[in-house]
Amino acid sequence: MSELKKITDYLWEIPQTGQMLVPGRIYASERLINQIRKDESLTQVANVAHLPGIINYSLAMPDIHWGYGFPIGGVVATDARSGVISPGGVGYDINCGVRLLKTNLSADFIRPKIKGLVTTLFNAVPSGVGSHGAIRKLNRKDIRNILVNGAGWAIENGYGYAQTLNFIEDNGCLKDADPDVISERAYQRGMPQLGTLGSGNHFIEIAEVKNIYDEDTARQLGLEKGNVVIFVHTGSRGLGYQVCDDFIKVTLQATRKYEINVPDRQLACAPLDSQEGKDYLGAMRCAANFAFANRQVISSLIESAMLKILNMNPYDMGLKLIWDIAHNIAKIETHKVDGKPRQVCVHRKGATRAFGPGSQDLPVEYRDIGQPVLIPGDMGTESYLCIGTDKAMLETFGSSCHGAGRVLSRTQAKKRSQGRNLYAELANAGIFVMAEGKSTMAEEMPDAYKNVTEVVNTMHAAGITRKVARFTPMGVVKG
Amino acid sequence: MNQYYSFFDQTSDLGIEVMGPDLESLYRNAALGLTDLITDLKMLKSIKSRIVNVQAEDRELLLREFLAELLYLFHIENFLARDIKIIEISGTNLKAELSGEPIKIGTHRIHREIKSVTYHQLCIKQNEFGFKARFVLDI
Repeated sequence: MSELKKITDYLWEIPQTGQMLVPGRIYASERLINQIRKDESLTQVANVAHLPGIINYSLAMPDIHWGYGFPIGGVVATDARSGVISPGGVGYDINCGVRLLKTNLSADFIRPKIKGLVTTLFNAVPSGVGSHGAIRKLNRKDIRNILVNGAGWAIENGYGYAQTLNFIEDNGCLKDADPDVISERAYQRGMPQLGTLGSGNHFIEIAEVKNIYDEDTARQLGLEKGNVVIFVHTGSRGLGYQVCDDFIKVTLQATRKYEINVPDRQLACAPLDSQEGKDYLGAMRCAANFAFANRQVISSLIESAMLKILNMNPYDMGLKLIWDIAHNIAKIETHKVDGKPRQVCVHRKGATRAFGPGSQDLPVEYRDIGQPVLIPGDMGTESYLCIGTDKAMLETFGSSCHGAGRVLSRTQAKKRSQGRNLYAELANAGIFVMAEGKSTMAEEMPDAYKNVTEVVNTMHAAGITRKVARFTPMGVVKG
Repeated sequence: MNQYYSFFDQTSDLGIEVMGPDLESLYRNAALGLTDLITDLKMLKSIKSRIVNVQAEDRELLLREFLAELLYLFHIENFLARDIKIIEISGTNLKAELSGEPIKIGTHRIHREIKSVTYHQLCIKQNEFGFKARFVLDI
């Protein structure tokens, strides 16, 4: 790979060389780009530039790190007619995403109760490996319904309020999901897992609104300084993992059949207008809908548990969804390319949609401000809510970063954590954590992540997303 | 490092390296390594046996298919193998007998969830000492 070219203080380019079809572009500050150079993620940005039909650039956000195939933090748009779709560009955890709920509760009111509250949520929402749903046993017909209707299924079955759907990306349901292409194995894996958090970096976080940077936007979103909010981070669980696994096999064959040349097997892909491409898109939408339903059911479990332990009524507690985003997904969207509207397939692998003001895809309540972008940091520092801009629509196919991004591998993190009591360290910082997996605490320790503020500031300075609010953690449930 | 596998640094997930004097041992060690990353291998009992049969186009894909099959058995039946006997192996076909148990979550300590065995940097290399495989697990 050739040397990086500096475009602006916050944008770097990998020139187009060899079989690359477009150059690569990475949003990063000087400090972050030096960190990014240390792993193989820049090679992955260049590899992704080989995908047929790729438009403009192989893009990467400042939280980029070395993934499998695509870098985590990658954004790639391919032409909807002549381009390809790659299951590796979405990942195993299809529609892994984040939702943010606001409450009317003040942080001062919750702080003395935080241990009890975290324990309650830890028990109310099953987490960890093999965790099964806290809801009634679902059959195949239920799952089929969920795959087609997404979060709408949850609402119809009593898990939440109808108006919530307006505040979920795509109203919590991707159209044209095709449950007939979902394998028996995926159905089996999905049946017991709706309403479960999972493991790894998934979490529920109780946080305080610490800083407001844009009063007007915060007011429109209903955010108040000093109040408590709740983040939920999870995805499509075993069902999504199986869909990805099934379709990498399909697309490995398709890659050969359509004579596509990619430098890594994990970049296997199929033309969007081929049967294989259409089948994957239909299957991926099913898994995405499962994830939307999963986050909705979890929110409902959280609300019930909180009402009970706090002995409150829903009106006083005021739990309300601010926004729910997908950060592992591929979507057919219309964007301006060379000044003309064009249908493209935007792969966001560890990246968030960040539509600017005026988009018809936003609820009327948010149409004049732009789309909220939720950027959780590690469990020990802070998280942000930003808002999409017009510039994001021009430069990044309406996309931004999704989190802090890892900087230490899991084995490095484990070494760094030896001899330390991470629970006590976090408790000293006023953060009460409960984790299910034995290795989770060490592998997910705060040191393992980049500085989320630097990531968020980079996108703010680049004009892609604007900072609105900062949150600090009070209690965390880790899977 | 454990007797079956070692890690290589990979930022987001887990990079695994496995060695074996022959292909049978390589596949066996990879499988036991995978189990050990999920729970303590030595705490497992051999009370049930299963036969698995997988096919793939080459020996690398065959390794991935084999590991993916073990993960599937764990995800669906909570079954984890303590002992593995490779009954038959060719470049494209593998038959193995697994002895282990359907574990009780809560009784056995679970280290982490493994979402999948990826194709990223998947390779098997041979030298005068035997075989070495590399693969990345999605965590």
